[in-house]
Amino acid sequence: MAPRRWRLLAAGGIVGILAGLALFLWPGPLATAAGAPSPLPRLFRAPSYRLVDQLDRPVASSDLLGEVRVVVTMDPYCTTLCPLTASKVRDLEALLQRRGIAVSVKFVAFSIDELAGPAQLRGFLDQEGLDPNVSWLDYLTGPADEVRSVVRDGYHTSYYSVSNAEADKLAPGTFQARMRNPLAEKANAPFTIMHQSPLFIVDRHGWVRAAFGDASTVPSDAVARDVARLLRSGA
Amino acid sequence: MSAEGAVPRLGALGRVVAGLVLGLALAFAVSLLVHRGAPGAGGTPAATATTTFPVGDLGPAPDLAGFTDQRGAPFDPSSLAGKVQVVSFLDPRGTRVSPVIAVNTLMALKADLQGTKQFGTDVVFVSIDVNPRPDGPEPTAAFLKQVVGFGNVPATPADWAFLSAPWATVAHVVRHGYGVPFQRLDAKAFAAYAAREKANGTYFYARAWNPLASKGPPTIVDNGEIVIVGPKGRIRARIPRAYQVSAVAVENAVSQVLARSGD
Repeated sequence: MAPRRWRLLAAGGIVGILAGLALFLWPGPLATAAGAPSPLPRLFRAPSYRLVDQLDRPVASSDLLGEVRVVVTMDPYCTTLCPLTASKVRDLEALLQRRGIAVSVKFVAFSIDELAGPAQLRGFLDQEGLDPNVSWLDYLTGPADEVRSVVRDGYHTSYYSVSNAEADKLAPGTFQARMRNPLAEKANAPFTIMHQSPLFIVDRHGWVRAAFGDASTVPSDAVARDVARLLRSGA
Repeated sequence: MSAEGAVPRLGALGRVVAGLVLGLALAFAVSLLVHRGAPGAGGTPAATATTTFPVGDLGPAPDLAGFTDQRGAPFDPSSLAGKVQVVSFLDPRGTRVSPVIAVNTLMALKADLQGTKQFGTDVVFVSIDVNPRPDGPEPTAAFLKQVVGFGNVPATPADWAFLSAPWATVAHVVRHGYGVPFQRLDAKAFAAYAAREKANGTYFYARAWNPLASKGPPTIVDNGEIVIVGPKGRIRARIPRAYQVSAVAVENAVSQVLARSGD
């Protein structure tokens, strides 16, 4: 049998190893010190709102506290980026499913066309291959000033209407392929909404923790990694 | 020295504390190794939206002898010597990924490269027509003008060559030369492909406007890759699903290849 002084040293060592592994491998400040990914910074408070979703049900931002959210904007009459953003949303959700974390994540899309109601939102989702009845996606609309307050003031995302003639003049410098949108062709609106298409990740407590400039080209893996990091950290 | 004597003469509490310190130090060392070995170690900074594509030596690029440019003239592959090539695989009648790659990725990249005066001098674009028909000249020039948006200033083959050739040549060069496993599917085969992709959640639903599209053509799939070829004709980087990649990410890869131009 080992001498007592060795046993005491070994016992201390085992306790130290266990405590150390718990401290340094568990997400937290010490894990960061040990070289783990740094926590995502709090960028700004996500705006609060009361709007309606694609099924015409009232939705409040407070309903989503406790869920990590992936937030985008989509104009259902868009003929440039929004069909690609819809593709990205579907790809991302499928990726989160494959990684087993989709159940903890909600996708939120704000419609930036004040003329589009829930029926048009459903039509857009349907034509872009997104089932309007899924529970993981809120595609939201509401009074124009309310949406503006959320998207422009809250998420700092620019959008504005111009005539179609003006939009054609702006098009060559924007490097955006013209996409088919049967809903827009049917509506034949005399104006176009020029807009940015960022993607945000919001934590369970309503803080924006990551912002990506273009939802259509954001690397899905980077978003999934950041979402997983938030989920692991409990933020 | 006896084993007993290897442990400094400490009290019982001292031995336990010494063990704890050693244990913590060991755990810290292990955690450093674990974190350094983890994918994405160091973290993705917030707002970083650019994927980095590895650049290396991926073998020789194929010879493009036998291709015709968008003006209908035989293409001279020697015109590419000494230049970095951004190679794409486009269907001029396509309504899926081809217009998106050509406009959202390549035109944006072209604008950036023009800003640094590298477009046409250090870097050129080469697009291969992956859906040639046997019944006449390919609408490659019309695609560049009407879909990509060159308007009154046409793309010149010296800057952006859109090349076509008979199907057998194209299939061989793209599949075996560039290693891009694209497929040409008839309506029935495409329906089966689409069903599989939808089941996987990876189907690309968006459709681009293309006045050159005609009814019932075979559909080209899996051609969404961009290949970057170095100045000495070696493949240096591959960018899959380029229709979902920012021009900045492609530009980063091009810059890396340019930086290694002595290779």
